[in-house]
Amino acid sequence: MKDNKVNRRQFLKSATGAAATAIGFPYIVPSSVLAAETAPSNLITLGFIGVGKQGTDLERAFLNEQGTRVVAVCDVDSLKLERARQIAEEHYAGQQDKSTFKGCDAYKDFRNLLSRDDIDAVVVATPDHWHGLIVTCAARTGKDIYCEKPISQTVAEARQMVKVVRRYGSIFQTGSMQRSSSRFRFTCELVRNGYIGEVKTITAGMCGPPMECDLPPEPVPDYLDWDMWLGPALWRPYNEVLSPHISKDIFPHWRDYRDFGGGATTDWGAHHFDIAQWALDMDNSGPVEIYLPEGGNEITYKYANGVILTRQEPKEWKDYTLTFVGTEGKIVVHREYLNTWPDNLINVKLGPNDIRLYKSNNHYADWLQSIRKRSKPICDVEIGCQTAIVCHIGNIVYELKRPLKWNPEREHFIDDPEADRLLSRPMRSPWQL
Amino acid sequence: MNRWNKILTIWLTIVFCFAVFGKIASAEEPSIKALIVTGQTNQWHNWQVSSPILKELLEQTGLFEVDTAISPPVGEGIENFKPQFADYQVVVLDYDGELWSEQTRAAFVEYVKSGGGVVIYHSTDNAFPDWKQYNEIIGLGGWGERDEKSGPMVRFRDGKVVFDNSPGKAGSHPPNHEYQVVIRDKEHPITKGLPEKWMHASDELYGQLRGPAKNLTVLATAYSDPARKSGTGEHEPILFTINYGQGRVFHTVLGHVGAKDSPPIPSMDCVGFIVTFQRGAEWAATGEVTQKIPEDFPTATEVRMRKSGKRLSLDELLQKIAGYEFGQSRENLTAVEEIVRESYESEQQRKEIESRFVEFLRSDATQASKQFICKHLSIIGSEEAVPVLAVMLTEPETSDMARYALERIPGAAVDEALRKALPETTGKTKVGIINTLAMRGDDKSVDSLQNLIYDGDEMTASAAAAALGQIANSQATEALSQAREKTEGKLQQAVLDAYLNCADRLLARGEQSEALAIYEQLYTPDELTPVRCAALRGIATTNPEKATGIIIGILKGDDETMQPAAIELVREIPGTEIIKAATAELPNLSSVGRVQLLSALADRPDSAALPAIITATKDSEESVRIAALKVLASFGTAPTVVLLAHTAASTDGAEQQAARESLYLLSGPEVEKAIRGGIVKAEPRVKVELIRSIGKRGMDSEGNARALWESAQDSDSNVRLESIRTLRDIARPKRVRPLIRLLINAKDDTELSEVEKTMISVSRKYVGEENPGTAAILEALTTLEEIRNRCALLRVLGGIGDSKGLDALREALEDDNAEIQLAAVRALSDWPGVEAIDDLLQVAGSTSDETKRALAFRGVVRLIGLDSERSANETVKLYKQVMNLASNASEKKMILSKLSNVESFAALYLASDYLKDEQLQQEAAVAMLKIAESTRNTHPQQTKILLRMIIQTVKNDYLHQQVQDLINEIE
Repeated sequence: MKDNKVNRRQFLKSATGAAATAIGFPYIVPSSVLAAETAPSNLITLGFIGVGKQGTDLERAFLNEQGTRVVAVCDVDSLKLERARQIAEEHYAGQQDKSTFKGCDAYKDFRNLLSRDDIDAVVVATPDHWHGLIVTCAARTGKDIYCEKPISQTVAEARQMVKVVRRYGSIFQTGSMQRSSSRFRFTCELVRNGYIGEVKTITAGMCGPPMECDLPPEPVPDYLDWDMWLGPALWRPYNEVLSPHISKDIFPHWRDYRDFGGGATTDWGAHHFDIAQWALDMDNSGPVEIYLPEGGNEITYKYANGVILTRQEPKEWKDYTLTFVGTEGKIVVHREYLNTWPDNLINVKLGPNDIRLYKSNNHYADWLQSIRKRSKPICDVEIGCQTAIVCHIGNIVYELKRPLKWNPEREHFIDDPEADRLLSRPMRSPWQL
Repeated sequence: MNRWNKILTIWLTIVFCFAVFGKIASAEEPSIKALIVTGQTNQWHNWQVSSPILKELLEQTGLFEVDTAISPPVGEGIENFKPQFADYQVVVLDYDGELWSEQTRAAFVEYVKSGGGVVIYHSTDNAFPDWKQYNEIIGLGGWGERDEKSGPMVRFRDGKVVFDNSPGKAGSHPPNHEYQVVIRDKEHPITKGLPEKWMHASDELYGQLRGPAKNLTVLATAYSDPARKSGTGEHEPILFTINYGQGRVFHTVLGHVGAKDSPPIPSMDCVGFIVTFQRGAEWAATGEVTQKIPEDFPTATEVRMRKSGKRLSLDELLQKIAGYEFGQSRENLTAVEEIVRESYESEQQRKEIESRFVEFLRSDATQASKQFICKHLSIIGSEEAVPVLAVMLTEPETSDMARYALERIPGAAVDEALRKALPETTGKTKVGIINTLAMRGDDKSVDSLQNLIYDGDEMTASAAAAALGQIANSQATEALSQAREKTEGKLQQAVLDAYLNCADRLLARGEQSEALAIYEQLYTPDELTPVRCAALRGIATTNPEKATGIIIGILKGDDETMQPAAIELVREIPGTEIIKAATAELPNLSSVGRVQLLSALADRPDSAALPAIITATKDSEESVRIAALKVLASFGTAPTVVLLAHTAASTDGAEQQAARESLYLLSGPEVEKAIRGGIVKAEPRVKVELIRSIGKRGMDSEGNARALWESAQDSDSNVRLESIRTLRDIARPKRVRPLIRLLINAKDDTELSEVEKTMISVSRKYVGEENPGTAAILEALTTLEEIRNRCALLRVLGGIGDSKGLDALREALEDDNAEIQLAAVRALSDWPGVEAIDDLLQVAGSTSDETKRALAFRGVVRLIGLDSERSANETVKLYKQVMNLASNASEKKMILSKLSNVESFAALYLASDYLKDEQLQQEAAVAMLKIAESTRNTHPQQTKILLRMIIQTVKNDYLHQQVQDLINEIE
């Protein structure tokens, strides 16, 4: 019933504004940005790979961005595939310039979608264990790429993705969309410019690591290609929890299981750790020590400058915060609010000599704009890679349950060849990066 | 002593303890009948983990025969839950959920009254906040809206127990941590003989529990350190007993299990928890304790842990998991994982484990269990594991899992086994082996791989090509070079990607010229665009000069497919040459190309490009002009300031926005001076842009403020207005007096209103007592006579909201002049705090002037909605009161919308009143839906009843659906 709740809350949000007058249906207002920089002749053609809950959300978002055309969708679940195709077709059917739309094609195998040379760019929203393979394959075919976070399943995979994306010059956006929130950007600018003095600790409200999968086997439904869903992961039987039926409008739980995702460590780490890295100007580096506190389950990172970054178990939605504590102040930032100590920090206007960070207020439009300009978007593959590494080395400590030291330059653990073995993960044949 | 030995020692201690208990057990059969009642816990706990541990702990003593009564899950018939309490001597409660039926509650109370024993475990004291007798039985409880009405807090101060009746919510705890428990009653059978102080393992430390606390004996406390979040600074009761009727109750707040926790649970593995729980249960059942204090009891400084339950040896575990299938309990697998982890520091143990694993793989265990073992061999395995994995490698069913292990195991033996398996396998199995050889970068496999490029199976051939690219020695390079000529189609694409990979790897190893040769070979017009782009990038990295030539050629020529990639590279090639050369081509590019190149120049600010960029700000295409304006943000010079300010003043839309943003971002020594100079000299509309930039750029120095005070008296009204607005960001709170002068001199209402706003925001910046703004205004009010100015100052007082200004406003309400009165009402209705509510209520209820009434009404509705100390019910009362003052439907709608934010049943009830009114029923229904989100938990039944009224009265299908969903959820 979770879906009802969300629906109703959205409805209430829109209906109980100043004075509730018209009772209508929730309607999402499309963003229209960069109108001046796009001409109709310059449409970016998009393919969507992985069109479950997040994938179709992205599809709708990109349909509403100017200068795009969704021409292909792909999924191993034929019901979700058909739904995604219809979303695109219905969208264009209601548009004025529908004559130029030649339909949206559906593919079960991403390789067939990628082999089309009339597709400029792809949006990848599969389970995490597929990201690396699809992204590298897409880069090789010259596509620009929007890939959901975390970009990879392992440290080595993330690094390999950077190499291939760079080799082919793809414009790559990581889906860590908190970077395109003015609240988080402003927080990082306050931290970078020393408004809270020297940063000492950062606390991230988020849940913990993934577990081993213990779901019972169930018969594979006829609409699903289970072997393809598993892809590079070691074989295990199907269970609906991993790939929920289309009728269940939920974020599926594959990410709770180590073979397919990194738990909340990567799910939320790719947001909150990502912002911490940004605030610390660590987008080209990372922490040097990782440990679990005595008897605790809160992964903790130490940076070379002594800053401590630690997870904190949230009890409710308002606890999904990121807290920066400095020698002269404190900032608590959440997707829905920002609090500062002293409280007038919130009114700070950055001066001309303050450090300003890359400004994006729309993660999707930023990527499209970067494609047009051939420039790096706000959350380029290297940033996605570094943040994914922070998450993955945390999960390795969770798995091995011992403190580890990390060399962020060489991307290896210090004096622990056994932990180094977990930096990459063998893939089931025939898959290989 | 290393860790492994330590663990063995602890095991021995446990075995020893079992032996002790075993004696008790052998002396007589378990004689105490115990019942664990469980089945529901709240979302922070997990009875499924805790209750089996409790059972096991009771059974370990040999004293108890334990049954478990599990309630139905939430919403599935708690009314049918009827444990037979009377059949037992002790009932252990691990339950926090739905209220039991009246019959069950009565049976429980009767059981305790007539002498039954009870153990209250941890979060069980969160349960049943409204069941009076239960709270007497548990003595103290927490959460569930318990507060001072539930009873006092029990404090241990100055060596004795005291009750603390101060108000506040019941129940809190710092994050899990280890803490010391102090025994306060050394003579009680439960605690007799325990060390006075002992360390408890990481656990929640319940604090601020409240309850009737009748007949309560504190056995032990723990200090809740106020330095921790939610620490109380008190010695909190941790173990205590209650006498209820003839019954004995032992209450332990220890032993937290989180919702997602799985064993081991430190709080329950703590020997201190185990022993006090076991002793407490015996005492509750019999009034005596016969158990001995074990040797491994924690000390004042050291935590001591036991593993929950018995722990099996590795051999026993392996035997058990041999039949493991996917989806079965992973309990034994987890135990194996733990043994592997704990052996980390002992190479000898590791070896032993590995050899057991190898043996296991040779057995006929299930595939699922072997896969599990392979996963772990991938981490701890050595060459010893290679022979058995090599056998599995060639079998299609086991090849993937064998490779999973082999790929991560270091050593030449692995490579050899992989190479040997190549000719013995086909299809996917072979491809997997090729991939693993690639990952390992095995030089020696090139001989085989180079032939496999021509294998009949395309999958094998592509994998072989990719592997050669990964290995990238000279032989592999040569093989790929040849294959490029001899292959076609998809396979050729794989070869080309591998060849590029090869070049990248050569480059990474410092073999520049070899790499360059490959890139140049691949940079030909016949290749596919992605390959050419990659090759060009390679050339740019290895030979920037050469790449510059190619890039300029592309910009000049007509090779449009390569143009985006070429422009992308302008960013990456070092030096000024590329910038100069590329900039020279700017005018010749398409508009898309011009935008791309300008964006590249923005990332590589180089003054050589500045003239061309300035020219581009006059381009015929708007997109190009905007791109050029954006680039200018990186060039902080006086002419750029002028250009951007002029452009901002003479354009609109996106172009104006781009010019402004760049103006705000400019940095450099000349910029500030140029802006200040422009404010004096430039034409008015340009002045306006420059003045605005002072605020946006946060240029808050004294000098800039002075410039603004000057321009605030400019002859041009737009210049004055912009200066007044910008002073909001720049002026200090002490400078309100000069603002009063601006107010007196304001030429028209617009200017007056801007000055008012500036005065308010400048004054509100002030932190501390004695706001200088209020003081200056009060002083001015004593001398200023002009009505317009007096009214304006009153409005400013309202906006500042400093309580010192309130009296002046109250006085003004009584002024003879109607304008002054109206200004006072307006000021009060703008008041930022709740202090003005009564004044406004008074005005709204008494005035005959409709304007004043409407203003006061709006103000009071807004103020009631602000945060305050008053209770939700009082807020609802206030809304009810203003409902009577509302004069039309739209005012009532306003109240309903505000009411929807109040989380109380009274609010829901009040809103439901308006379902009857056709004009208001939709708004009432929406408000009710929102309020019900909170009352669904506190008043589920009544909430449902009121919600159903919506369906009966309001005609709106969408609303019906929403209401029905919510009712279903509540049910």
